[in-house]
Amino acid sequence: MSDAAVDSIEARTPHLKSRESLQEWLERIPEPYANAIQAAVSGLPFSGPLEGFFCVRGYDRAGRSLSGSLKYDDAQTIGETEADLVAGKAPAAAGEELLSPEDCARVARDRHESAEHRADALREWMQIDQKAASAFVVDELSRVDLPSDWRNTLVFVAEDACFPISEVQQQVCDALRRIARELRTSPQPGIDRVVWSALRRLASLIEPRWVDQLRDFLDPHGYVDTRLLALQSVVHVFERRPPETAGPFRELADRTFDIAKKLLDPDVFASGETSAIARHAVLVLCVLADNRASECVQLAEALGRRWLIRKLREQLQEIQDTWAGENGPVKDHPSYRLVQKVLNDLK
Amino acid sequence: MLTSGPFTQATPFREYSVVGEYAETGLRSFVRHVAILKNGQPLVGPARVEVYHMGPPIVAGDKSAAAVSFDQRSCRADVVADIALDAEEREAIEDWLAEVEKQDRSGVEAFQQYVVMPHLEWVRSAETGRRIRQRFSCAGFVIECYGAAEIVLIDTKAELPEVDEELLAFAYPDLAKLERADERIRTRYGFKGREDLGLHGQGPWRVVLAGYLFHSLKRATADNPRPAPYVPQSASEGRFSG
Repeated sequence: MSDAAVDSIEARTPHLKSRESLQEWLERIPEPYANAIQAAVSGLPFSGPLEGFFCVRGYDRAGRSLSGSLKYDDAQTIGETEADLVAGKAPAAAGEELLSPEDCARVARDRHESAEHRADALREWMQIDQKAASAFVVDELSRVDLPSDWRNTLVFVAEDACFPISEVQQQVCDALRRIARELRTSPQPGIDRVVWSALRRLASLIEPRWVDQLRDFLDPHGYVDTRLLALQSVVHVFERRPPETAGPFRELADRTFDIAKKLLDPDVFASGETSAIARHAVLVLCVLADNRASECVQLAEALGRRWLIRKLREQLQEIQDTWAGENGPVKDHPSYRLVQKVLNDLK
Repeated sequence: MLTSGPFTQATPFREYSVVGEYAETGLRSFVRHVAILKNGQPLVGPARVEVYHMGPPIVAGDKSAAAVSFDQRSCRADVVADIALDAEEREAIEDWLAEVEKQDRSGVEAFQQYVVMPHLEWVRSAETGRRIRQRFSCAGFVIECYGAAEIVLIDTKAELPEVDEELLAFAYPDLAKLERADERIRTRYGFKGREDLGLHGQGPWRVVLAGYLFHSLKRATADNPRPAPYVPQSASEGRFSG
């Protein structure tokens, strides 16, 4: 584990009412962060191996919220932090060491709270009462007027939520699909991982019969390239059992074939995202029982990359083993037969 | 070529070399973190270099690197192993990195990307059982990265040496920090306790220590550039001095 893993630790608490309680709080923060924050707040130089950013939040005796950040670079910069603390409005309730589920729910629902506070409360709520917090996440995700920070939080939290009812799963899928489609055209830095998270969760919930909806993400449209994740998603949807029928997925297979053929062209092929997209396109064609997979395998072999062939073989073998292990008599399924044929060809 | 620093004169290393960072205090030459060198470069002095790794958070490409601070996308190169990857191996690694980068959740509950043991674990949907994303240890990230190039560094199916509580605490100082931390900090970091990281019971545990990878890589020679998977014999192999 990298020593830098928690160097950017953000220590925050809404329960500080005095410098004395700050001291108590600091005693619970692991060293050397506590030393750095203590030094920052008291204006003393701190000498130690630590570097990083810290957010300090608390309340003074008058109940005003104090928030600020410090970057610990060296003893010269750290002394300025106290001046950075800014007074703000204190929330109505601050006193309990840990928020109750009700408090978490209240803060998470409060649109006047910052997205950061709402996110903290929502994550805490998810740990205390996953069912209620998950229901709230569904309702929020379905709204179209969400502030961007809060929307991003909801997408990430949805990966940790649980949606056991199929109607709710559909609702979550619809919302995540809408958000991913919208955000993939956004030039905002860092938006990629929100789109990726939305697609991962969508793929984990979507009913296999609706998998064609992932075709939207196979077009190189917008700033976020979603092709690799969309193809990975199709493979994950069918990783435990092959599709019941291949017919409805004809357009998905057509687009997948186009991608595979283009990216396996020796003039285009390159290691990295391009090769990973091409490899997954071949896997998707096999899973969808599309015989054009054999043509793509020939293109892959013509590239003369042993690693690519080995990876394809390993992944197809894993898919076939899982299908056989979980579904009993599956050997007559067209997808299983095609996977077997491609494995034979690859050998 | 396997070299431990500090490098008093510029020593060139190729991209995707394996980089190790020693613990600064305590056990001498104990490799606390391991990563993949992002760019080929000559190293001199106690260099801090950009890497691909499981910090946490995961950094496996330009986009995940851009989302984190320099500290989070770099580590100190105290020991470096360059086993002269060929073009096939480098391409396989690039393909793997591209795939893994799609699992990035930078800045969000970092410890939900991390697992101590096993070295790799798939997070699956509670509703459908489908795969969503992977969690790695720092050693697991490197093992799987090289494994994608068919370079099996450690025989993870073999019985690994036992790591006791004292050594575990030394190898993973953040564990103790987070265990003592405020509940909010734990939540923010996605730290749900040791069991969530695969550390069940009172120990000892058969953890893949970062140092084992260098004992494995050291065996690569011109005559035998890709030796068989390594089976560490003792937890003392968490230390490596070149």
